[in-house]
Amino acid sequence: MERLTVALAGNPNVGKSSVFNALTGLRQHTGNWAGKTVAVAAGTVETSARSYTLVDLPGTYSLAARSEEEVIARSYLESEDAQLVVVVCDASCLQRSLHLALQCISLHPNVIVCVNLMDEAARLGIQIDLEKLSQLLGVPVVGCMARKKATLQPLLDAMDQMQPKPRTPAIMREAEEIADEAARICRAAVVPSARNPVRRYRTDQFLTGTGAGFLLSMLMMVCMLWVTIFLANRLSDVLSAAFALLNPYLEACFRSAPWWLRGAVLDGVWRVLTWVIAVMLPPMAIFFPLFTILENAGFLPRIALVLDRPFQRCGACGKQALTCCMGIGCNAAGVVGCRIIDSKRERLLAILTNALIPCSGRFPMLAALTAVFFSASSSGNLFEALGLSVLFLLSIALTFAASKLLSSTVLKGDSQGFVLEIPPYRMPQFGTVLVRSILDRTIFVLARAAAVAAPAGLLIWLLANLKAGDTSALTFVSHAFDPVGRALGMDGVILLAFLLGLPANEIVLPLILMGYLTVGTLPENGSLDQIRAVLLSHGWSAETMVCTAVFTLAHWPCSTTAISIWKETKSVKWTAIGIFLPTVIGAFLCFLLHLLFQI
Amino acid sequence: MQKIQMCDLKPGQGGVVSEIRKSSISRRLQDLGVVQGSRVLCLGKPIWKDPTVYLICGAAFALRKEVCREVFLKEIVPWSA
Repeated sequence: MERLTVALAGNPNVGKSSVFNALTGLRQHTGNWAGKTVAVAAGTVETSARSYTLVDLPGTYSLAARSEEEVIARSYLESEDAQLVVVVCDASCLQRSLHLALQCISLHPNVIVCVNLMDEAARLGIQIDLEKLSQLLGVPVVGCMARKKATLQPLLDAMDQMQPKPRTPAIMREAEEIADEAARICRAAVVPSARNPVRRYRTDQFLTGTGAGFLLSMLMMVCMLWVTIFLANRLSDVLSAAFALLNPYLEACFRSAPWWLRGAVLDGVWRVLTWVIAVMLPPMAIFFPLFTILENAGFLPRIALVLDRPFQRCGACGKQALTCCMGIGCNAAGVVGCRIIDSKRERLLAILTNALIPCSGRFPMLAALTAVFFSASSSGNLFEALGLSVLFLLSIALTFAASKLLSSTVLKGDSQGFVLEIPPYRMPQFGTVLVRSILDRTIFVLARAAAVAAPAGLLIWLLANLKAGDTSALTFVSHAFDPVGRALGMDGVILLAFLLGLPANEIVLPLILMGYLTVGTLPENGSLDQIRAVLLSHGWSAETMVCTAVFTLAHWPCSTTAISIWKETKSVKWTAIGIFLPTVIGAFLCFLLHLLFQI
Repeated sequence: MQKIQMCDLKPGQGGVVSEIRKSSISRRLQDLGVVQGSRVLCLGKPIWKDPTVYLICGAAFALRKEVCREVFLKEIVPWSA
């Protein structure tokens, strides 16, 4: 069977990824191409005639090769690898998509134009004459709706019918010339929408431009947190009960085993594992999909729009809001996501401050702390949600402060031109999102629990049971950390737990609890009442609660994030700053709070 | 005659681009479709009045005031399809 390599090009936000995913399904992988540092996704799709390898190029507005994405896209298109090029265009703003299409056509002899989002265009009253378009462009043109897989058949047929012509050296045309031609072609082949775009923008104008809209957004955030807590608590209860049922069986298995084996496996590894799964996993598994649905619907650019001005005052740019949102899922992903920021200085600002945003590993800990603080009653859920909202707002404030600090000291410079696309709201694909993100997140957390939490639990159990006389190694180490811990409003055990939580933040709370129970075991199940009892009996006060929460927001990034910072900056200096900055901020704030509580 | 800048547009007002002063950002604007003769429409402003959202070639973009100052328009017209 003939094999061809197809490059998939297109503007950002045209649904290129949807086309790619619909065609390749699960047969895709990310990889590096030609030694470039940006990973490119590749996948395969087969028709009756040929086998195609699809390469998903980064979304670009132009091939003028000014940003890293443009350089990659341009050099791939000009290489021998790309035998066929499919340019994905947005039917609802064809003229702009044609800029890139015309550039591709001038550079490569084998181009197919795929006009995506035909349903959106139809909804707006836009009519596109695909035949005429094909005539004027001189290449095959097909229409599709990538969300409905069946509509991609014409694209596959066009790819099958394409007989690749040999490459000839080509120069790209001038921008003004291309703009003229794109406008001419659109006038001839497209009947534009008669709808008033200003009217369509009214919802956005309300949400982003009025005080009432702002309040509504805040309310939405509180609601989202409330729903998360509500569902997560229910799920926690179910999981805890399930584990409680299993426990007797396991204990029976180990009854005849030596005490140290039983202790290490049951009290060390198993307890921490069940704890992480029953208490830490549910909030993560629920918050993440909710957030992804919001992201799917297109809310994030609106957030970046509103936050651009405040970020500008701190020397950064609105796109940092987007990376912060990514950081809510996972700080490492947020750090990698900073690539969307063009200016190197602003990108560093975003990378170094990302750890101040609580990731989904820290979110359950904050949720548990606020729950304990507000002594969970039936209306406790609402106060919890409010408490969490306050913590989120605090982390945003810290991000601003840290950005301001950095841009007045080590990262001075002017803010550069800012261009942010505001794509139309899209109906989120609830089904795919829920399934994908719940599964992905759950599997990821389970895997990390096995890889990180289990060994950490074992370590704590070992430390707690290695006794020299009366004191265990655990007591010894936590006493050593006590002076520093207390100065920060916490104590030695908490600090030790944070340190041991370097690989993954979700194990910090279980480690704190294990550290307190001198035999190094955890309560049977993770009920909030038990947590509260343990904490209070070990001297926790309001001060401890507040300082621990604040330190959770601002301390060294987890090891995965630190490694990502290193990979993105390739500099020891910036990685060190990335680790020290949140730590210093956290320590400073906690010390301040400690002093305040003495009054 | 005083030149009209893109940042002078109020929500609902559109214009035809007459000239773009060359700057570090002008090539980026070209890529988006802001070239001589193209039409832009001001859609709205967020709570701090900056950046402003414009409709360019059918898509909405938020551009800061300092960027729009470099774009000059022939005249201000109310929007028509």
